[in-house]
Amino acid sequence: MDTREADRGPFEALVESPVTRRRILRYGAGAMAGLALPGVLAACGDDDDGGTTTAGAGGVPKPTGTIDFFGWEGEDLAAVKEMQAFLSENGANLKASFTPTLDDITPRLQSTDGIDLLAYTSIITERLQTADLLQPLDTAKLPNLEGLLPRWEEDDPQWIENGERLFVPMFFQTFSLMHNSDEVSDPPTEYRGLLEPEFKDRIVTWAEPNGAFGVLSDMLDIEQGQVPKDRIDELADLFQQFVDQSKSIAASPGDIVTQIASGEVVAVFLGTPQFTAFANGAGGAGRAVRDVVEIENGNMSFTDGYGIPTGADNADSAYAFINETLDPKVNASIAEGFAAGTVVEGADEFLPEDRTLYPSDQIDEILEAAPLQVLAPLESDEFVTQGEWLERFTQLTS
Amino acid sequence: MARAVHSADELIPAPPASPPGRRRRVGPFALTAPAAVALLLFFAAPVAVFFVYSFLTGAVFSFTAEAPATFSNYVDVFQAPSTPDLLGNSAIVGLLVAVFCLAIGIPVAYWIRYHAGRYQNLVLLAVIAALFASYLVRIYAWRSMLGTDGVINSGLESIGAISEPLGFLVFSRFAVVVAIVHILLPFVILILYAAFRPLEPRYLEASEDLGAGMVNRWRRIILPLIAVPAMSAFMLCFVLASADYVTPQFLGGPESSMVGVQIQNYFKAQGDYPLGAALAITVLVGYLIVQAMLLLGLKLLGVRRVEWRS
Repeated sequence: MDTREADRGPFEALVESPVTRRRILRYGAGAMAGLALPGVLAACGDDDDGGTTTAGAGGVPKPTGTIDFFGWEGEDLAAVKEMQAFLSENGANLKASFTPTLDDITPRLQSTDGIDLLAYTSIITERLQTADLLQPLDTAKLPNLEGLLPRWEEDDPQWIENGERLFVPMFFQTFSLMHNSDEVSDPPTEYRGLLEPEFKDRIVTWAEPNGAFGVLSDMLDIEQGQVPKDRIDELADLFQQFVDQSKSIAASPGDIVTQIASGEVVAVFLGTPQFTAFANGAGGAGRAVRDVVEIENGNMSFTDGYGIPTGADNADSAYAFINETLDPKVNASIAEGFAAGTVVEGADEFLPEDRTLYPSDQIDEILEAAPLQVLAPLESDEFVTQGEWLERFTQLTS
Repeated sequence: MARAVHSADELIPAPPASPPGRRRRVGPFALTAPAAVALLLFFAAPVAVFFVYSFLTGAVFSFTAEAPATFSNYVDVFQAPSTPDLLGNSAIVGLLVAVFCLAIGIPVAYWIRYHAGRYQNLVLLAVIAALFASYLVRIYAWRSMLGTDGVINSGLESIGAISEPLGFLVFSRFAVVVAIVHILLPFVILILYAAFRPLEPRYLEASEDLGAGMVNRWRRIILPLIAVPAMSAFMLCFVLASADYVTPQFLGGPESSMVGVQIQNYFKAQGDYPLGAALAITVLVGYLIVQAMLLLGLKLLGVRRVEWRS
């Protein structure tokens, strides 16, 4: 035996031994096996336990097994203790995957079966329905729909199409002018205020072409979704001013939160109170992030909620989950967590007394001042289409 | 007496003779078969599908095949106002990253091969360890380093070198290039180390004995011998950097979108798969052209592939 070899410790052996193809293959194979082992073991388990759903009182399903969730981060309601208790009591669990953008949803649903519960913003309901990706909801399994506020009971293609409900709201919200109140003591009350020299390279713009389209349309007094083709340059010119003023274009809500919480920027073009809540909840590095929600020009609202995809294999559990979110106490808890407005009667009674954001007795006024966001048409000879605006949006940010 | 300086060609060992016997001939095919099958299934086949898609007629999240095949998607790609800026941004970032990676990677790999001595494996391990952190974590790490209140600005302010934070450090092309160089550099070092590995120190000593100084040694011996692997490293960096669409979104400025963002838009936001496929194929053809230009450049310089005798 080579004594020199025997005398070497493992450290010396590692340092001094030659790197050979065989050694790399041997250690590489070992490392790959180690990395793959947990996945292999996990795959040996039974992952698909979306089993039989039992019926509760009044025929309302109870959640069982695993509910496959896809949608906005946070809207799996993992942080809402009432929903966690509801799932836990029934022995069900949510397997969540998230998207940072609405654009992910259609291709994901087209390529994957088995998503039981979809959380999204209602503006894309028509698009999803056109692609036959949503199933009409059986309202008998959603008795709590009876408590919905009138705005969400009305016929509106964002939730009811041809008399069939496709979308159930969870909360509503308006876009806001987020700002760091330590740096901006007298915030502007309209987005154009962010174009003042004092905000040069101190704002971030959300890379959300659909939101920008609606807000910019409203700022130019053009009806949302009906921007004549010959006015797209006006929209683009206005957006260009915000791009020129911005320090960065944020790819996702999380990126907006990070940038304002870290002090990189002092205000946001296209924020929401939800982002503000996250920024303050994240500690905000001691910064007090605030919102202006009653924006003079460009005020716009949106509704987040749930649908059930056509490929769902545990749909009854998804029904049970959705129905529970419409319980007034639970809905209040959700609205509080997301700094949003409630959508069911009586929910406001469960909100903190000092809360003044979106009081339900003023919802008509709020939604009149901040009309619901509408997408550009997919195809039109008269109006700017989504594709045309997206192309212009990309051009302005490249 | 004038000292003779020999070129790299004279040092290149002759290529190995064809291995005799059936077993030796089959061996290489058997060894490369898994990789070849994987490439065929997961690269060539999808590219072929994309190629076919690019001649179909797209609608929103659907497409139809019409005879004759349409070239309109390629026309639309080249007529889109954003295309020149996107391709330009991508090419510039790809080029800068590739050049910086080689400029840093070559000396580092050289040092590891010839000067790290008994710590060679440890240094290589350190290079590989840089890959253990996730891609996104490293991007956010760079944001905290380069940010307004980041380590660099705070450090420079604390020593009085600057009075205001340097704004160009983050949300700029500079930040994108720095982050991608950091991400790709370990790969480049490993490729170049592998290129230096068969180049025995005695070759360099011989050239020195024959009168070659450092410049001549690099120009006539080292660079020609590592030129082909260096070109591979260059292409790896160029392709990965110019196709990156995450880093520019997190570290780039307001006008720093790259071509990957537009491909994503065509597929996901517009649901126009044929248009997205046409842009993707266009980019792929662009890469092939760059590769061809590099090969042509090497040929014009008289550099040829080296096959080392084991």
